[in-house]
Amino acid sequence: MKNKSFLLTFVLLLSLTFFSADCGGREDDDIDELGQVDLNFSGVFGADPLVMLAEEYPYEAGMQVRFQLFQFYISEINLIAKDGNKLNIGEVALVNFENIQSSEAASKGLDFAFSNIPAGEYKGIEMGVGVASDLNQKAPSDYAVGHPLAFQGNYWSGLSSYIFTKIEGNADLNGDGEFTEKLTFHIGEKEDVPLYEMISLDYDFTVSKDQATTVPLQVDLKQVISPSASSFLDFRVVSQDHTNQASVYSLIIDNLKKGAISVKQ
Amino acid sequence: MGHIPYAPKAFELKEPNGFVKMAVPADNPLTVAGVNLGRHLFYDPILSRDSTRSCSSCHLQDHGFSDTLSISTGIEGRLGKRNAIALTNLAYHYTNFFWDGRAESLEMQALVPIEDSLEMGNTWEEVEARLQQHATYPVLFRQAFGLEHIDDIDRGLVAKALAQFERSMISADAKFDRYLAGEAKLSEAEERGRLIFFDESEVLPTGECSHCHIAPLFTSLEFFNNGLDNTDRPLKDGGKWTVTANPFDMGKFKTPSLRNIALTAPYMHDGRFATLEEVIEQYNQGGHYSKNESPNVRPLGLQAHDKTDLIAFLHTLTDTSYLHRADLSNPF
Ligand code: HEC
Ligand code: HEC
Repeated sequence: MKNKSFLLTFVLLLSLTFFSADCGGREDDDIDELGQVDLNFSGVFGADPLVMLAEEYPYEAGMQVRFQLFQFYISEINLIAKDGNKLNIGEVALVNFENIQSSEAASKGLDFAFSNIPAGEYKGIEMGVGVASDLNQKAPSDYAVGHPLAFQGNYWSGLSSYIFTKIEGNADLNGDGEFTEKLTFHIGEKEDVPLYEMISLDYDFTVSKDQATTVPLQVDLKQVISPSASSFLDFRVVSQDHTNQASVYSLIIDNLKKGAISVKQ
Repeated sequence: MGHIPYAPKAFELKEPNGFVKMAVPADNPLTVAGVNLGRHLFYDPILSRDSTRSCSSCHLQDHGFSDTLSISTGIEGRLGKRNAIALTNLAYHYTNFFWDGRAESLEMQALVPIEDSLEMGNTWEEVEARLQQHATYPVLFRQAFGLEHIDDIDRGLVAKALAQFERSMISADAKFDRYLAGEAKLSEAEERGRLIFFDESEVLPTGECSHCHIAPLFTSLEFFNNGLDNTDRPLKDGGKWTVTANPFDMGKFKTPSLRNIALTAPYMHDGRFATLEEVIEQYNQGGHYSKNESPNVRPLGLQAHDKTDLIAFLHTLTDTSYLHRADLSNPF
């Protein structure tokens, strides 16, 4: 069965500057030397694998938390070649942990395959967290079903924005084992509050002809909602935000951009 | 059948503004003759064993192609298992048909009711034989699919024709659509209801409805436990769980579209609610807590007038032109 969390189509845009700069001196038919890059996202919550529904995690102030959904968009996905040139490999993808409901699924993570990548040495990867501004001008009706931006559930016509990230789950507020507090955080971009930002990650890897190379990435949801004992989403005070409380949505989106996504060690 | 002309003409589907672009399977493009054949099949009781029930027996145009029963009944008054789903804008449902999502495409869905002993109770062999021996169907099949021999009429083509007709069932002319197009004005109550439905007001309570019933389809096409039952224990009807056997899918059902919702009572997969008032009251309470209940279902704090306004808004989703469209009506 098709799943929206896996990207159905990627438009591969090979930038001309990349070719002219990187391939200088090589014969044209070197372009045939193509391999594949698999971005693998695994989710964690602090030291533990991130598993929806089946796992409960201790939280600040004696609370506990359980998740049903964690997803976010990435766009403008670029590889950085050894010589610093950028190669755009994807326009947009939805990283969605909704169906990661067991530790086996968590250890496999979510794979996004990009084919036709020129063989060679690379030193990093770059991506925007959220939906790039030009794409965020569009709406699901600009796409055909199956495209990651065609999913109405991730678009907010009231804000004219895609929902960059969603976190949903339940909290046990007093440690009594009852997870009755319902959590829904949906963060989109308001016209006057730009949230989209590029992040860059160092990672040395080689793409070889007809081979798949995995770039292992990790996303720590604890870093997103509770990076420290002095800065965390206090579910006793707030259990819901639809991008209306700046203190809540800024915390979430800033943390997602700052450090929550890393190369897996 | 080579003497009967076969000149397929594309069926012009007007895709409404604001809808995602439709994905029609490459091997079943809509043609005028195909849609016409599908329409005949949809309304023809010949498909059921005792020639008493057609698709339209449970999917009535007057009721947004739903019926008025809690649980639909098939041939010989046999009681089915679930409430008939109203059929609208199915061309945009790219997968997951039925309350539990067990059919992946409209073509696959169309194969099911005919052999369901509680619905049409027939066998495909019998249906194929009846259609092949029929006075007019062979001509309609030839015009739709260009087949050479009468015995090429088979279940696959029946399903394709039904799917073509169903893809032509577009509803996008409700008052709400005309409001979006700037052609109609919502009353004060409807507008307040709209703000509640879409969580668009800072002062009114949020209804949280549009997380799941998203415009323009008024469904996200996802499966949820919207809090009807405690799903931490097995249910008589496990919904999506019956397909996946995943305990976290217990009691999750396909989010139905709310288009024409004022005409499709009773409500929910088992028709447990007779009125929209009961539905809203259920949501207002926040549903039954269980592990997989969607956290978007939460106590809403709607007052009596908020509830009536929300219902007023739901009535703006009634598309009377859809209910009267001649090309969707009974051709017999
Ligand atoms: C006896 C009543 C009955 C008859 C006859 C019947 N249906 Fe249905 N239909 C239902 C019920 C009940 C459901 C929901 C069943 C379920 O989800 O398990 C349904 C579901 C559907 C759906 C799924 C809609 C969605 O949103 O997922 C489609 C499409 C459909 N029917 C088309 C047809 C067609 C085409 C025929 C004729 C071949 C037909 N039905 C005959 C009662 C009926
Ligand atoms: C978490 C997602 C979700 C939310 C939020 C939600 N719904 Fe639903 N709704 C569903 C699902 C799933 C069903 C079908 C459940 C079933 O039959 O078991 C449904 C069924 C319905 C039905 C019955 C439709 C039919 O054809 O039988 C109505 C009416 C309805 N919802 C209205 C609303 C309104 C109004 C709101 C806001 C107050 C709302 N819903 C909020 C998911 C949701």
